[in-house]
Amino acid sequence: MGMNRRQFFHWVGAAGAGTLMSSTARAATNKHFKGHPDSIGVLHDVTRCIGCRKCEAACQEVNNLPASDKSFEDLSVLDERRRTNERAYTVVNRFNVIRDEAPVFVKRQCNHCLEPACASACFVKAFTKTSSGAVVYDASLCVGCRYCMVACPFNIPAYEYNEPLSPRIMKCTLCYPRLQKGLLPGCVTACPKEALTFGRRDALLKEARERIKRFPERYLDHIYGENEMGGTNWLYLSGTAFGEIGMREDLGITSAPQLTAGPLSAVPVVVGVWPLLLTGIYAISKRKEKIHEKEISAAIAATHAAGEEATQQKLSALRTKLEKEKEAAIQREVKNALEEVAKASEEKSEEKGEG
Amino acid sequence: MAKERRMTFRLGLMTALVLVMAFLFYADGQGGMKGSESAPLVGPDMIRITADTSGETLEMPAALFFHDRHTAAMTTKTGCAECHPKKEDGRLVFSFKRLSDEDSDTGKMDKEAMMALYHDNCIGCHQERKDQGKPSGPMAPDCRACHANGNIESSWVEISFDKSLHYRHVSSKDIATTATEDTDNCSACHHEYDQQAKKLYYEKGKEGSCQYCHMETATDAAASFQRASHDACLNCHQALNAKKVKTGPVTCTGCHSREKQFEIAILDDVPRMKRNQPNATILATSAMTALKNGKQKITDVLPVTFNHKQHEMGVASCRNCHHASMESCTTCHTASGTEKGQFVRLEQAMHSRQSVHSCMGCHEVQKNSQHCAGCHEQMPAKTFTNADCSACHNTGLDRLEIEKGGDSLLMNQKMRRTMAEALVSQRNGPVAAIPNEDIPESVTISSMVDQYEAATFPHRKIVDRLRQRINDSALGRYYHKDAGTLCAGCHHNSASLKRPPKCATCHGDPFKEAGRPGLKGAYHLQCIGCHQQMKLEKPAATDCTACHVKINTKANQSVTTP
Repeated sequence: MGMNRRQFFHWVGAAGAGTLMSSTARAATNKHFKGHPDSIGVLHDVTRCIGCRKCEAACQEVNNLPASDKSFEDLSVLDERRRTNERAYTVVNRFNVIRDEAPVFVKRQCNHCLEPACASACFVKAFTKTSSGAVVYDASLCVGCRYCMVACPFNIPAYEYNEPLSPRIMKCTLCYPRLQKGLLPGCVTACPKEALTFGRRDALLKEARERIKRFPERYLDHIYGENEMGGTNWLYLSGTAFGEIGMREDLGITSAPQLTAGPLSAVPVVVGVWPLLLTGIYAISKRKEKIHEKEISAAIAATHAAGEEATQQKLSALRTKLEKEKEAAIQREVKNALEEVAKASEEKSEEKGEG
Repeated sequence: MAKERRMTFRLGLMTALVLVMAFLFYADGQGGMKGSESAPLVGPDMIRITADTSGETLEMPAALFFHDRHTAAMTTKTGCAECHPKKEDGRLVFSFKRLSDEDSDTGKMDKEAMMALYHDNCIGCHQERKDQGKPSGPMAPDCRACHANGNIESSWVEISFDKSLHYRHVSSKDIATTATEDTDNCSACHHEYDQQAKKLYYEKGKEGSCQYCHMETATDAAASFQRASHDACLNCHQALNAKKVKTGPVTCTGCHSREKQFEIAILDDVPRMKRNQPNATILATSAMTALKNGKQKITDVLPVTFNHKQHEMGVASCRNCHHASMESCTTCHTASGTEKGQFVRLEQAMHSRQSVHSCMGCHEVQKNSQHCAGCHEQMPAKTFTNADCSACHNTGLDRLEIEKGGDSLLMNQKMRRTMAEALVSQRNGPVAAIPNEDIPESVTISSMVDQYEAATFPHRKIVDRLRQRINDSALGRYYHKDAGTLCAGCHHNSASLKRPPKCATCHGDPFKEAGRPGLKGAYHLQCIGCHQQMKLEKPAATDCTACHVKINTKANQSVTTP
């Protein structure tokens, strides 16, 4: 998966000495991730785009994507606002910002965040931020949870819902396979107006600043992607407010992983400490229960003991009484029997006397 | 039992803690995610009625009043006077049910009085109409029907009283003027103010823009521009309306809606205004100061010949340059600046690119017009240091001449104007033409044949068209005097050469050098960029085959060729 060092230098040669000539001094900071050094990117100058859809056509071709329903020369598709889907890694949208003025065209594709939200959301590491700048996807690892689609602030990853057996997430790869071969991304090659400038990200930032300086009236003094969501490898220059050309202006400058780091850092706390805590609470309450039980049984035992004595006494009294009664009964019976015997013998003697 | 309760309490506390933590994390993540909602637009006739409370919060937000709805509902004979009282001279006062302008103008009316005035009259009228069975407005209990919350924006736009609109008033036969010597209706609107007599009077030759005196807010000497303009324009329009004469708008929307403004006819051929302005003059502040000082006859800055007449044609109104008064620029903008001129030095007043009132600032704006932008949009912004001074500072008088004999020449206004007119009259020729044999008729662009066949570029035709456009504009003619200037539109680094190098000499594979487009990019940026800026509908930027013939072999359609 990783980029071969030789291949990397190969395309760096192709990307040209110009982009490499920029200063090698890099600010030494360990506070803030500013992207992989020497990572490449693309600067999309919105003021140059004419909406010809050559980039879309080239993208479809170099990525072997399924053909779209309409020809790429059919510009009527620009009438509706589109997003990237499983059959198109990139789309161009038209914005009529000012009525009766020339429209503005904006190309959409994966912005290749310096710290990608998709990669941070993916729990099987199917996304990799390569040192070249490209965010690439490995379908063999993907479990199809589509968390990446939820996570992406730019609404880019698409899913092959129509693929029943092996659906994949589909998104721009910055033509990573082509970069490895020393080729430029398909869209960049195809753009007739150089609305897409390819180069090292730091050189592109300089180039963008230079354009703003040289044409202060043409551009807003803002490079979209320099800091948005912690920075992206795809950068944008525009003359119209980015919010008016379908680009989010509410993203802030914190990368997605950093944003989620807070809540996610609570996970070990919850996972690690909570069982202990809860077990502790459980144990304490269990122990208390035990003591409580013991006390109860002791009390019962005491009660029992006290009760038993009384019962015994009663029993023995009863027993004595019963025995006495029994004795009395026996004596009475004996007496009765004796009396009977005495009576019978008396009668017998009387009969004998008479007889 | 007590122990059990304690346990429940502890567990409850824990759960609460967890919930709070989760909320905090969630809130942290969501903090920056709030979207902004833009305010809804309502018609230009919305007026916010509220008292000026100087910081004190009122119980209710401003009442939103839609003026044109009320105008449309007025069917009584009194018309506007239903709400707007008339002064003794019969002119309407455009305040609600009160004559005193001062109160409402500065917004200093007492809030209780204001509330009573509006509540009594608005609700009173609504009630009356309701009783009569007519459609009516909100009543007393519906506070929020008028005092609506929320940020509602009006689509109100300022109306520019430009040259064209001015001339339609000048040439009108229906406008009544006060001064007998005035044949151009000037005195109907323009006036001076006599501080002592507290009266308005007209003085010929002193006409200026309304906004010189009638500022955004009222001053001791003059009402606010809003009040003054509504008082003057609407009363006149109303009066003419009453006479059944075709006149200007009387509703808010009539003047202040963008759509309605587009409907106002623009006259192409507007004669010059008559205010004794020069045809041309020589701007020689530095030289004149030096000459006046006498001792030190040194001219820092060479004079400029200024074609005043030409500039009148190019601007919408006098205020484009004379932004604060009709006096000369140096009255306020001296070499080192004065308080009156907000310390904007003369040099800045002439050269600032940030101000549309300065020479260079306005010229910068002109370059954005579709005739100029084709080339100029692609040229980086010039800085003051790389501008060519002699493009304007070129009377032909050198320092020595001025210092020697300048007295008689420059110190006399008449002489200055005569000399300037003579200099200006030499200017107006077409731009220098390059002999046809030096302009290739067509150029075949074949260096990148790949998906498309070579494109044929009608070079001479394009040069001719561009030259035509330049010749159509005085500004264009002036700044493209040298034959090579036009060529620089495309041959941006080698215009002075008779045979400039090919594009491919400098432009090759893309992204080799920062800031330099590749060959394909260079061609398309320049060709399509120019066509788009000049608003040429054909060929469409996306119509590849309008310039190229497509090669129909599959192998060539691939973009994989690096």
